[in-house]
Amino acid sequence: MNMKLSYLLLIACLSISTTFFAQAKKPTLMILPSDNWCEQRIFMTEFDNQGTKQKVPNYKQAFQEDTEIGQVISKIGSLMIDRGFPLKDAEQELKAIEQRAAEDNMTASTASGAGLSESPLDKLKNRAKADIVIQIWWKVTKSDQGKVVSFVLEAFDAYTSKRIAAASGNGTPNTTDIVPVLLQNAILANIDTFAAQLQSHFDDMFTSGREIRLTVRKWNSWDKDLETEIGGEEITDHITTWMDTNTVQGRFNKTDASESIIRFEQVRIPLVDDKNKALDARDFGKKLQKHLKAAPYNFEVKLMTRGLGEAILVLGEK
Amino acid sequence: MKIHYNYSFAFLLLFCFVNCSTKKELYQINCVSIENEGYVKLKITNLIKPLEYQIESANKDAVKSILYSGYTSTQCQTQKPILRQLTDIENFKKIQSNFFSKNGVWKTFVRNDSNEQNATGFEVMVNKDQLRKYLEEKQIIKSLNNGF
Repeated sequence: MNMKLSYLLLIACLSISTTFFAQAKKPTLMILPSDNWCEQRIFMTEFDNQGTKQKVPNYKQAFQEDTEIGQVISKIGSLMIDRGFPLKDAEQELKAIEQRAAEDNMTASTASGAGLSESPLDKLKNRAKADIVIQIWWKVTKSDQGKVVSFVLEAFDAYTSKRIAAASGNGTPNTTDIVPVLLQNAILANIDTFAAQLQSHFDDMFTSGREIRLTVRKWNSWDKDLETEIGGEEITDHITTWMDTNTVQGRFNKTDASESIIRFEQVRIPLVDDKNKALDARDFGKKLQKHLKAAPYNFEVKLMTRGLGEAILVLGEK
Repeated sequence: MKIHYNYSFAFLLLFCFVNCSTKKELYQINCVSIENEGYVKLKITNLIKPLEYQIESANKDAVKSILYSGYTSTQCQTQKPILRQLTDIENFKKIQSNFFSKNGVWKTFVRNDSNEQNATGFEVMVNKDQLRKYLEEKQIIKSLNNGF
């Protein structure tokens, strides 16, 4: 009897602890110089995109050649570590991607000599990623009263491309301090405001859920479309009903709905699922995939992700 | 007799109001610079009784301004208070008397380069980062990684 009671108590304690200590996935943060900063310092690469000349920032060159960027990133990084948020280092991440690519190219099976499989899409997606991208911009202007540093620090949610925190300002004209000191002062003056706005974003995430995008499409080889009726209702309506029950307070926008595509934006998903496991866009898409694979639908569904905050389901085949 | 008591009560009430109003503090804060290691250099001036203003009061007022009001200057830009939310202020009230007591913890966050008051007041260095961390540890305010 006592044994039974202690087992029951143990189970109760475990369930309580998992409920209370369920933790959301910690977002990763990465700092990059803004496009405008890269353009000003000529750290851009030009390429021909099907006849149109396009410029993209060359971060590797910026990290290797600029003398100020290292100091600025290091200072912001140390201040964020102080707040319990170590940053993903963009320079190291770029090196790691190159290293991984080199190693993958050299990896072969000992039995058959087969190489690692990689689709063109995998190659395209192989880039530095973070949940939140922090962009920095600064400019030192010389005036009659001395040097003035203008500084902008912005954070973007990679899931939604929304600006979630921003701090900017101009320093006072200074004739004595060197540029690194002026930059440091600019960071110190901006970091608290910036962190407070990040905190507001996290608070909103905890109350209203993480914001993602979800797209449902169909292969053109499929014999049905999203307007096909099952049990008297269109597939689109079935999916919308599922979204109603599985999003936080039924919060989402259906921005497009046709026979071949449904786009859901501002989808608020819970941070943890019913088993207290942290949830992200892919996990959420997986749940819908499971739902559509089961009866009465029995569809074949391919699940893909774009970036970190978008799940794409393609109905018809894998 | 009853009227006499009523007059006495009204007089006491009036005296209390006058006394309370004279206790009101009025000080001006000017942020001189944001220093390394999380320090902020503030200049505090008492606008009511500048000559009677003591360094201990100036230090305490500096910490209070960081906690409750924040400050703005061209050097420091706009810095919001540490206790931003109503819940933060409510939580802090629970430790406020101990925190600001004679040998309270608040003193560990303050530093003075000089004990003397100049024409514009006292210069006080407050370790804002350590103060924030202390309040996070005591769960008065939320830390940025709270919940992750």
